[in-house]
Amino acid sequence: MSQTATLIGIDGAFHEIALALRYDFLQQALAGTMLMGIACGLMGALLLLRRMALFGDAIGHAVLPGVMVGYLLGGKQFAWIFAGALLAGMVAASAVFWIPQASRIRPDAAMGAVFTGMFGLGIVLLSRYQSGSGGVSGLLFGHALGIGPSEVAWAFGNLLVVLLLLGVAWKPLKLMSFDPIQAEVTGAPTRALTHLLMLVLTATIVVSLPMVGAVLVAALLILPAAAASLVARHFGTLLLLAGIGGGVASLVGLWVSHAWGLASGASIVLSASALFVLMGCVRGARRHKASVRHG
Amino acid sequence: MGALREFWGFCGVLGIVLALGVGSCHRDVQPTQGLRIVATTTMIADLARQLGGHRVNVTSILAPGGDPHVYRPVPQDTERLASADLVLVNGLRLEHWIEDLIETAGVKQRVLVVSQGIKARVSPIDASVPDPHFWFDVTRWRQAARNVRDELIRVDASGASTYRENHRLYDTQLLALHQWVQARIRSIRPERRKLFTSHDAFAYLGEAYGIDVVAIQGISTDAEASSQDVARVIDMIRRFRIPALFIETSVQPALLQQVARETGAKVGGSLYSDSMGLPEQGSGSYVGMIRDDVAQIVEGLQ
Amino acid sequence: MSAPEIVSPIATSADAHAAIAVTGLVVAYEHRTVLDHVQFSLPQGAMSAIVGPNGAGKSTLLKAILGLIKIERGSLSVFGKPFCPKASGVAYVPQRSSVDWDFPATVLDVVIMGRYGQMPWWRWPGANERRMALDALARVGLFDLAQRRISDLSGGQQQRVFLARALVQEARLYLLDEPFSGVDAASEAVMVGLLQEICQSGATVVAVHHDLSTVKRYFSHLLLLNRAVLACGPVHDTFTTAALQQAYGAYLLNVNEVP
Repeated sequence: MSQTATLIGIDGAFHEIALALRYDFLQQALAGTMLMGIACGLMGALLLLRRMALFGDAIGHAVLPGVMVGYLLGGKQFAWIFAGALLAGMVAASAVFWIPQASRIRPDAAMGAVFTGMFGLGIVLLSRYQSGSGGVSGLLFGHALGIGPSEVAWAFGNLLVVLLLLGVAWKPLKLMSFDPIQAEVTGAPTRALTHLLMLVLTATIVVSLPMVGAVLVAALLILPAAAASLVARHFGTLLLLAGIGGGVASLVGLWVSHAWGLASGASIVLSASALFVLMGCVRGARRHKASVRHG
Repeated sequence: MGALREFWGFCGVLGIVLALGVGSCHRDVQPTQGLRIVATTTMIADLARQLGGHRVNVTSILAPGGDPHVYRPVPQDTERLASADLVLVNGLRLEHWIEDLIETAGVKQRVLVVSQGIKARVSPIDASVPDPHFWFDVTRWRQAARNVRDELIRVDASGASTYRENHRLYDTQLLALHQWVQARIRSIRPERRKLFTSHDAFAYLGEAYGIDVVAIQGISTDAEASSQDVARVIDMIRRFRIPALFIETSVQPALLQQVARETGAKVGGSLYSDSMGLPEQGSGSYVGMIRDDVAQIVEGLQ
Repeated sequence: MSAPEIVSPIATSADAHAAIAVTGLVVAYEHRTVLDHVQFSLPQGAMSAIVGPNGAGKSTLLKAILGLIKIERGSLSVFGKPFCPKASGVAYVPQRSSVDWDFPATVLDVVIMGRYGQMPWWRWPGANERRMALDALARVGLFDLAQRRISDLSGGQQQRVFLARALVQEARLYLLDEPFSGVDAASEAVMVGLLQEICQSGATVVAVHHDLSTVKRYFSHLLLLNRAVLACGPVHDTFTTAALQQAYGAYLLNVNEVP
């Protein structure tokens, strides 16, 4: 249709965007996904620094049975789904911490076992209750175009909580990420903060489910943070870039999905991947410049 | 000491896994009387039961609420097909997965495509693909009933008189249904006779009973609607002042709910499209399903 | 396992003035005893080495003192009281490998982080913290590298950054875990000099030390450990052939051969 025109003509593109934003659903999709992108970028950065990037993936898969149970109990009301997913997420997080302590299974194997098992349980529930599952398949892969004001509100609330957490606990978080033993020895509330982080992470994932779904949310946690880590030299910069990266990936992804008629969730993930590649190039260019200077 | 316990624990787990595996292989005991019929959709199964009466034993591959477009077969389906005397399939590319199943189960010669000989529409989205949802035109469904009756007689000639009698009674019901639907649709004011849904299953209904059908997605439920389509629909709803939107039970409601929220249109209730409802419900039969759907449509558009 | 006859370990009346006093400490891990009824005290203002073969439990002892691991039995006190993380007056310098040096931070960042324990939660690090950090960096000879990324540092430089981080804590007790292992000679010299300076100004230094050849030169006191205390006291009294043989086995023949 007008895809070519959109890509070639810049002010044609702006015109398209202005037109597109007349619709509530696109405004909501944009707002929701950007809020989600920022929150996922920030939380993902914290995970990345503690070498727990795949943990976000694990939780994303593990919440599925919780989503199903919440849905079965409360219909499509978001609060029920949120509560069920939150519970499942906490169960998974606890299991992943507890299993290595109580057995000789290492954390990565524990993670794999827990999240695939719970995901499988979720799929079993999904196929058993396939009849009303239209809304839930959206939770697997996202239905950004269908999100309503309440999902946007949840995403906004969640981002506020993330920002609040970062604002209040900046110093211990930074210290914990770099040197957790030092943090403990100097009296930082490491255990409480870790529990809180897990809670906020699970909430962030759950809030992101309507936008990109359980399968893709891990990408939003990992990619913007990984992209930022390629070029950030300070802890603060890493978080800032990861948050911005997540927001930008959502913006660009939605625009691409609108212009080309592509699936919205996947387009956002692809944009985040492109961002990662771009940052890789920036880093490569920097290094080349540095070696030329010193060479 | 600990190693020994681990070994026994492992054996225990292995034992449980094997028991489950063997247990699930156990074949269902098939009752010996009656023609064993396996239908793909619940509607066809209902039709077979209505025409076959006590002489038949009917099961359907899809459960109520299942979506034939995206159904993934399980091993029990192959077994069920293999032991069937007659297999009833919708055809018109509704069940893309059925050919492999029939092949594997080796029942090709026992299959009836119930839509054979029925004039089909093309998909409004893609003219190279047929629209399989012909059951929404009761007249066409009566043709399908005749196909099934004839096949039953061919396969089980000794029951011919029963099948003919059952069919005669059922056909009367279908005719009455058809007339009822006509009357109900006509009761809607002409300018409001527009059916908006998220699934393009109702084209036959539209054609047969004089109602405009517009959908956001195409026929298959795995395509995600593009935002441009959604925008276009919102524009159309606003322009034509569409009063109500109807949601499929087997499709994502989130999209449609957002459109309804944005345009102020009413969410007109779930419609049964690719499947009937549960057996206990009114919509657990073909006649019940059609009545339910039409009642919802008429109420929403009033 | 009783203490050997060679040196008498503890003068109990001195415990209250000890920098570190440990009695009856038992630490186990998966049914193995890692520390077996460890009992000793180390004096304030001294530079003490904790020495023993691999697997002797030296790092474990440090972690037990800092409350980082679970102990089966025993009591540990620092300056007469159990260790309390907040306002402890103890600075811990861990092994370099305990940290991921790819973390996005500069040398200055890491040293400033040492002040976090002394700041209220609502205050952001400011000019004062920066000044203290730069002073500490100057003392360890890394002032010019303040803006260098920590991923670009050598082993010796990394160790000195950790030491600077400990310095800004203005501690009374410095606990170091193998501070000189894998470190170049220049860094080692700088660090030893600095640690001795700190001792002279009244602080206490206790270090797990890996290099027998420098024990007598660097340290005034020694704790010889191999799952249990084999000797504890001034270096000249404890660093004997017999004690070392008991700790390390027959491989070590004569303390006089140790330079």
